[in-house]
Amino acid sequence: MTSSVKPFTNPIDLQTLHTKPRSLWSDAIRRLRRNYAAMAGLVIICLYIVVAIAAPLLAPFNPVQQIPNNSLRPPAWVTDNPARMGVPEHLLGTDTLGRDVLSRLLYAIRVSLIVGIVPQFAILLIGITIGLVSGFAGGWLDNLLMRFTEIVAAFPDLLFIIALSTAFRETWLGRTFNGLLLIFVAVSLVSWTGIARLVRGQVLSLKEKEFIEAARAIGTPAPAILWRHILPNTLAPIIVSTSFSIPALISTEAVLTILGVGMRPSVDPDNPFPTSLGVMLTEGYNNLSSGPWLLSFPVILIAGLMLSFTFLGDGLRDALDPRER
Amino acid sequence: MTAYILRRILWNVPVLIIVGFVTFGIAKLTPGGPFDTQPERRQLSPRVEAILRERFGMDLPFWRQFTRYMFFDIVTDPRTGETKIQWGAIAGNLGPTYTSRGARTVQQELFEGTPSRPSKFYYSARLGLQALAFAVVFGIPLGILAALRQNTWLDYLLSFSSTIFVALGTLITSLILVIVFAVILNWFTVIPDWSDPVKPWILPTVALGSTSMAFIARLTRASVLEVKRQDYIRTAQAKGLAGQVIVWRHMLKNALLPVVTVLGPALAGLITGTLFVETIFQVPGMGRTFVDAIGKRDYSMIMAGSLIYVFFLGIANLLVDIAYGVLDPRITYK
Repeated sequence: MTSSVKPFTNPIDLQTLHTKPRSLWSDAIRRLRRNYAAMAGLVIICLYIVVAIAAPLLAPFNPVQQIPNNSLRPPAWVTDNPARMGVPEHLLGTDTLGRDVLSRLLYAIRVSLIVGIVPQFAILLIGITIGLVSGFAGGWLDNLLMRFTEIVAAFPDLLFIIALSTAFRETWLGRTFNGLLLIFVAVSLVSWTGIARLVRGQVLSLKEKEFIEAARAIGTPAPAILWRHILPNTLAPIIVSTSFSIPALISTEAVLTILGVGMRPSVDPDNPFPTSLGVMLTEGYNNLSSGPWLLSFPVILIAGLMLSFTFLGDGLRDALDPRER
Repeated sequence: MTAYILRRILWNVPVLIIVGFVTFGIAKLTPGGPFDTQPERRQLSPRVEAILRERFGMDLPFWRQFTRYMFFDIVTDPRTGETKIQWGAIAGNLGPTYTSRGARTVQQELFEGTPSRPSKFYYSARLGLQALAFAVVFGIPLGILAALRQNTWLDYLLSFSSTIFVALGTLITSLILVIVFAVILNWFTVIPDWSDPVKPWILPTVALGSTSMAFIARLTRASVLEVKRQDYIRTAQAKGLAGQVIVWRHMLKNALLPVVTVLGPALAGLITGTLFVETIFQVPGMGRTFVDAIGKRDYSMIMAGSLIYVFFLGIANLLVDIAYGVLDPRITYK
């Protein structure tokens, strides 16, 4: 009874009062670390990244090396067919041209990771800029930018990407980096609308907050308010949305390649990026009856990659937005 | 309300025109033309090609070609000398296809069929509607079930599997279905036999609908949980209403409202999904035709693909908005 009347005389309470308050970010990291699914996702993503970087060291064969009389070998543990047996050298079998599937997969992860991550920079740059300007400026500029966003969002995006990829396939843009640069550009041009709308919504609600009013009252110039005060507060939803957008892009590359307008597989033995999971899915799908493992392994790898990013994204959302829990 | 609907419909017109313009621009920028995609195997004599170029107006300036396709053109009959207005896409005339050398129009190519050989539109529309029905019929009850059994193993299982389906997306789900049911279990053939009215439809429907189903289930669950916490539910429980009555009368009616809004994005996903689901399951529908048209430089078919998708998306979103307004009297449109 008495202790609750005079709490501040209690030395333990005094100590708690003096501890440094935890920031939003360190709090979020604490919450994220307690989320096992998200941590598992993060670990698996790190594994993928390590494999992608170390592919030349890990791969038992050159990924484009065609070994004669060695085509369509099943995985090493399939030994029931004496005419075509799995051999231990080719752990996951060989494809129609006698190339080692495991080596190709290791290199394919590289390209798929790049395809998922690199266009995000362009998407974020366009989306954040348009969202910030639109939400902060308001008025006719906001109206104009949002109408523009609406029209771009109305585009049948996959059809647009396919058309763009076909149109510039034979130009320098379509040849650079095995056609990947063109995919980056095409995907970035239509995928920024979600981020723009998200940032605009955040800016609109932040604009009315007291701390922005205070910054304006002491004469902070508008660019500084945007850069120092508004942008950092929109970061949490942007991070969450990006982690969901990465698996979507990885799957878009695969869709484009299956439809025949994606990445061009390389036959150059020195090419560091000879194939992608999308290319391997396509090759596997085309040889479905003769070699089902050619489709199964890339499907497992791409599914693992996409699931990891999604679980990490779910965890980030829960960690960064405590209201949602 | 009427003014709102009218404005929404009118807004779709500039969107269609701009999408049409950009598509036309990209299509025309694409190197090669509809009659010389493979120069080494040229089947046309120069004289025939000149006639075709004249017929399709391919030597006109770019903007004239565009307005001619999109809006109208004034044509003079060479025999009678009469001039008349020939309406374009804006009036529903999607033009003759280049692949048929102008013998068949896009409308005939897409919408004309016989009972024994259904049209391409029939395949795509049926696949899309089946997938939507599948998504709604399974998604909503599963979501309700998960919410009513919140924090039980059933809830965790359903939530976990819906996360997985949403994460994998339509493409990977399709490929997994092919591997499991067509290759390993051998229940379906990889090359479908479309004379069978049921069997070849099952896999593509499930593949196309599963992502939307998981999405709908997730939203339904969240929405039911939200309603469950409301005061009026506690009131209903306090006055001793039976559990069943509370669930059906008070909870679901309010909980299912937000689910209507997700149908718009779900439809968009279904429509783009048909592009590659039709390729993977070899459905002879519109999606595959549009993708092929890009390779063949069939400008009319490319334009038709873009315009038809934007048109259906606009209609679908409008219907969703109207349905939401009708179902929820609190919402008024200005």
